[in-house]
Amino acid sequence: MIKLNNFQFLLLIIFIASSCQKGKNGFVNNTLSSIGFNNSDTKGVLTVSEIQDYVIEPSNGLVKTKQINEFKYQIKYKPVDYVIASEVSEKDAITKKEYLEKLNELDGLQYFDIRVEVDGFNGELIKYNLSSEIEYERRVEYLAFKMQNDIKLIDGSDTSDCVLYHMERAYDVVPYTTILLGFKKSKIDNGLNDKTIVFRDHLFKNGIIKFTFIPADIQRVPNLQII
Amino acid sequence: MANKTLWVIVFAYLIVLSVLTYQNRSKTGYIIIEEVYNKFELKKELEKQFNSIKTERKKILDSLELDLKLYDSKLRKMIKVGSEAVSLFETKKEVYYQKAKQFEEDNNQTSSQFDKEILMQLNQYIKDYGKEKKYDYIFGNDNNGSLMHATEKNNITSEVVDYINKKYKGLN
Repeated sequence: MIKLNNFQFLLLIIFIASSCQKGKNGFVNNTLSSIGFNNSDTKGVLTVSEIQDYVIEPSNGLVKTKQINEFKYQIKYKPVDYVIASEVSEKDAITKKEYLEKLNELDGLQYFDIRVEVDGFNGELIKYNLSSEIEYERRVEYLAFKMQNDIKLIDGSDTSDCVLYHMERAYDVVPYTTILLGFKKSKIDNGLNDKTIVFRDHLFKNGIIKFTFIPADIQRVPNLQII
Repeated sequence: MANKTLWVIVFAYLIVLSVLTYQNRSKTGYIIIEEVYNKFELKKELEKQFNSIKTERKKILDSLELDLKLYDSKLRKMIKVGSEAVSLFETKKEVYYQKAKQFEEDNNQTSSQFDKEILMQLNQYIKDYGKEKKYDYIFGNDNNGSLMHATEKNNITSEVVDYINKKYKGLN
């Protein structure tokens, strides 16, 4: 049995009290980092399903969310290996031949998804706060053809236009809209620059919406396992 | 010895009590609204954008004005001014005034739209800061008397400026 002197006893009490003050956040953060992959600096190799889980895990810094009033904007940076994994998601693994074929198709662009939703609104996003049928048509037209021009990628000192734009129309099935984006890779991409998506929201007039991905989070993304 | 232990327990109890009391206290801070607004990156960007739009519009207007003045001086030099020339001058004058009015309205509309966008994001990010840092109240000092006194240690303006700019950039 360890005997504590008075001073040690006091220190123990203070330690317990300060631990209580920290609350449960400390525990949650610790648990999250042990689940996430962000503790490791070494770039690992992940299976098809693991790399998909890795990308969507917020603590890995590849999914960012911003709330402006009732609007929630979410952007996902999709490394090429993740895009390949998504295309072959029914399989557990991918052969080198398949991988190289896919890589050949996809390489040259940087991929992102942007998702917009409204808190507490379960209908189709473009029907939110709609005042007339004409406005509905105007919104559809904007989302389908014009919004692409309002999205840019700032990669270091380069600003790229959105060259791949595909809106997944959800109709009334899901209460959000997802848009797949692609930007040409910067010619001098040394992997040391922030990548900032700049979106000028003319649809709901929420101003300039930015999301920045830092090089550390991008460089840390593990590779897809090839068999 | 027993007496000494009792004192230690009482002392420890007092520490725990004061920690718990501290936890239950309201956390408050204040910001200097003008400073936060002026240092907000979105405000700086939109201000720059607005000034460049205004400058472009002014260039168009200046060019119309110059054209009008040149035509006016040409007319003044003429011995006999025909009705066609007068009519053309009136048309040019009308175009100039219409454009000036339209640009003024457009500038006001752009300015109020930009202000709305800035305030919407600013308010949201300050709200996010309050939630994240567990503030009960964040007061705004705008020198209109709504906040009469606050100690400097509660001034969180620079922390809030850092936070809202990171948030705007989408870093956190």
